[in-house]
Amino acid sequence: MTNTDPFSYDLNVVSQELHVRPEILSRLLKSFSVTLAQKIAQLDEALPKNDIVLVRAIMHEVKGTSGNLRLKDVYQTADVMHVAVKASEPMEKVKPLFDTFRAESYKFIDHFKNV
Amino acid sequence: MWKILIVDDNYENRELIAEILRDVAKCDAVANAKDAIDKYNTSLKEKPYDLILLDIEMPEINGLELLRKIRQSEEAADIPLGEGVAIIMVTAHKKPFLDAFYQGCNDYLIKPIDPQKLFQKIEKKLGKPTK
Repeated sequence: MTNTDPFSYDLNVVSQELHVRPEILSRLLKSFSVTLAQKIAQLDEALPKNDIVLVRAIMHEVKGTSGNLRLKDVYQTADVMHVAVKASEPMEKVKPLFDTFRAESYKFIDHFKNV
Repeated sequence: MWKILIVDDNYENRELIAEILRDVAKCDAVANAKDAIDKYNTSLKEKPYDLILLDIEMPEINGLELLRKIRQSEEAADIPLGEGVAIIMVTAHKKPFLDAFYQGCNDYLIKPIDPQKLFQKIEKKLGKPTK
């Protein structure tokens, strides 16, 4: 089920936790928002082709970076989808997980479009 | 300051780690194994790296293959086992670490990166940084 809460992220708290300057963290988040939109576009093409190798590689990368940047909802939904793909779950099970992951990702992407 | 090479195909991860380490290390960051080998070889003629932070999952040559290549080149240069550059593997995968230890890594770090663990693991290998 999709979480309808708006995107929420405390830049100052995360920058302290990560020991990074807020302006650098903000730049990296902006950069990742662009990267993530590209990755979702790649998934849109890879999933109908059942290109599981590519889907796994993309989800692995997205999980790593979203976790590092403390994008909790993107990380958690990416993780669930990654686990399902690694377990070779059928596409009808993966697709709703992708929809949830995409919805969480676009909250973040849309937020940073305006920053 | 430590001299550290960060090898990760993801731009945000490279920049984030370099930023976390900014007060204690001079970091070079590269996106693939080929550039890492070039940097590593060049450093041997100047000031060698104290440590390499190496992502496992990378396209073309992955982190485990790169680790093997570095240890092989050290062996060819008669650098005794255990005295080569310190290498910490970094990844979201938990599984491949046994392979990495067999191939000569010194430690590992699981993503998401925890800055405290990152500092601890580097200090454990290199000691406290000097200014």
